[in-house]
Amino acid sequence: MPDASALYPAPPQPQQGILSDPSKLYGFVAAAQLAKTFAAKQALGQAYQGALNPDGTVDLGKVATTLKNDPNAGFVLPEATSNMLAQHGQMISNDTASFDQYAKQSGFVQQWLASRANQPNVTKEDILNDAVSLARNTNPNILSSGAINSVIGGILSDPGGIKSGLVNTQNRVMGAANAAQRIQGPPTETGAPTQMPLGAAGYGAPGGMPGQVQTAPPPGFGERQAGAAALDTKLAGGLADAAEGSPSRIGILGNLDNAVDKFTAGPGADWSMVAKAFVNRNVPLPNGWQFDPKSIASQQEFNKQAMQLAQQQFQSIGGTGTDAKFSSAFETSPNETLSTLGNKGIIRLLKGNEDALQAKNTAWLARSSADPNASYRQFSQDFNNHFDPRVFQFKYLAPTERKAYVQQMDPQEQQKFLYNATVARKQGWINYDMSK
Amino acid sequence: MQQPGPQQAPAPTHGQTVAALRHFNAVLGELKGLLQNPDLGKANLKSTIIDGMTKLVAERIIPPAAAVSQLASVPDAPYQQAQWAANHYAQTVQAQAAVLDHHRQSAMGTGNYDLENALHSDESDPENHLETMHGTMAQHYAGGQQ
Repeated sequence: MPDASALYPAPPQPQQGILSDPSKLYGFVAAAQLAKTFAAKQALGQAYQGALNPDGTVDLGKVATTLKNDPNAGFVLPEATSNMLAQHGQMISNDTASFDQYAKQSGFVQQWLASRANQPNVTKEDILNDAVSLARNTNPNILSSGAINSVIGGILSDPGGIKSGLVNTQNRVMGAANAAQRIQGPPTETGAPTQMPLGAAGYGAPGGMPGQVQTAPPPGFGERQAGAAALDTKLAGGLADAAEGSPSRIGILGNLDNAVDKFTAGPGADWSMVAKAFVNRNVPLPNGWQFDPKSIASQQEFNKQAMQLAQQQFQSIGGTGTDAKFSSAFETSPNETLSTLGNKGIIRLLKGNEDALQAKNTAWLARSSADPNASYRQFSQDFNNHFDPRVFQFKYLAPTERKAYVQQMDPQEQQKFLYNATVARKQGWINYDMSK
Repeated sequence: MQQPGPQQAPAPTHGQTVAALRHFNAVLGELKGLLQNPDLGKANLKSTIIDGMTKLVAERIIPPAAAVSQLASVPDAPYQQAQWAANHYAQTVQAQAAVLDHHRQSAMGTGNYDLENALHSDESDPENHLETMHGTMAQHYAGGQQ
């Protein structure tokens, strides 16, 4: 039996159309997009082509109008719109380059930059006025108004401010090689000269007025420096003079220390010496009964040396002849009217002072050798921070006296004294061990 | 009948040109900020545009009536707002150069910067900006818009 189904028309076979294969659909969409993009970009290109000025700049207004009226441009218009700033940025860059080139040959532009870049407080209004002055005084066929506006806009919107914008423009016009030239910069605190790049000069010295670099020290600086140097020289000279006479004074002090043991010092010693000498000379006493002539000689020697020491001290305190100064020096020196113990105490103090004087002089010589510009006053202040004359005098005390000397101090004073003694030893000012 | 354009009208004075540059610089500053806004073209930025316009009015760069008129021209669609901003930016750049061109075509410089400064630096008072701009438009660009 034949199959009845064969009588029915066969169902139509599916056509191989664009909807039958999704990959073909995507290909079609991509092709359409490509065509639209191509048309749009062509419209965009034509818009720019039509707005191209003879000098190479682009008339952005014309570009915008053309794109607005061309339906083909719609497809890429958002992209074109976002490019507007980029295009203008490129235009500003070209304008700036053209301005810099022109400025190198324009006396007016250079006058403008030299004047404005050196002013401390340039305002936006100043720059707008300058833009119009530049327009009037430059060749419009070489420097377009757009270029002037681009440069002025760049100065006004400089992230570092108007001043920085001006100096940047000046440095660009000057060129890298010229801006790198070394010129005299502001002096250091001590007045020493410095150098700086010419390009940096426009920004001004740190802390100074922008655009102005003071290359000379401030008024009165030289006079103050000269005065300070003269004072330093005088003080250092005084120390050197005092140290020069120190060995001689130490010798006298040693002699005094020896002589004071060979006679009885104290109140009335001067009269007793005269009486002894009178008796020995005029009273016929047996030899064994006479006063010891060596004792009289020692007292005379002591007096002479004490006078010499007083004279030297008198000179060291700037003595020029008044009785009051000499009296002061004499009364603070060893003399026969003081007791033996009193004289010995004074002699020890004076010996310590001489040691201290020599230590200070040695330290100053070391400092001034290491730094010929060292200030004596600064040195003296540093030295005196830990300088304690008692440390030097301590050396001449007997061990028992040293112990008693330290014990009579209050604990705070003891601490300070021992600290200063340790510093003196570390610095080499003294060479004996305080702990002993 | 042809409208008198900038090229035919008498040129603006130094002070008037300075006022025009002041105007264009302020407007460009606001438009640049708008064009740099990443939401431009994607969201309705009318309130941002109103803020910018209000600032220009507060700084006495444009009169309130001109601000209202300008705001009325701002479209609502984000895409059209982007187009509006780009058009205004391009037109302002162009107008700024045109005014400067106009001035330099008829004004003669002395060639000495210090002298120029002494002669003209006080011709434009920012305190009277709106009055100066009004005078500039009336005298030189009648029928034009600020």
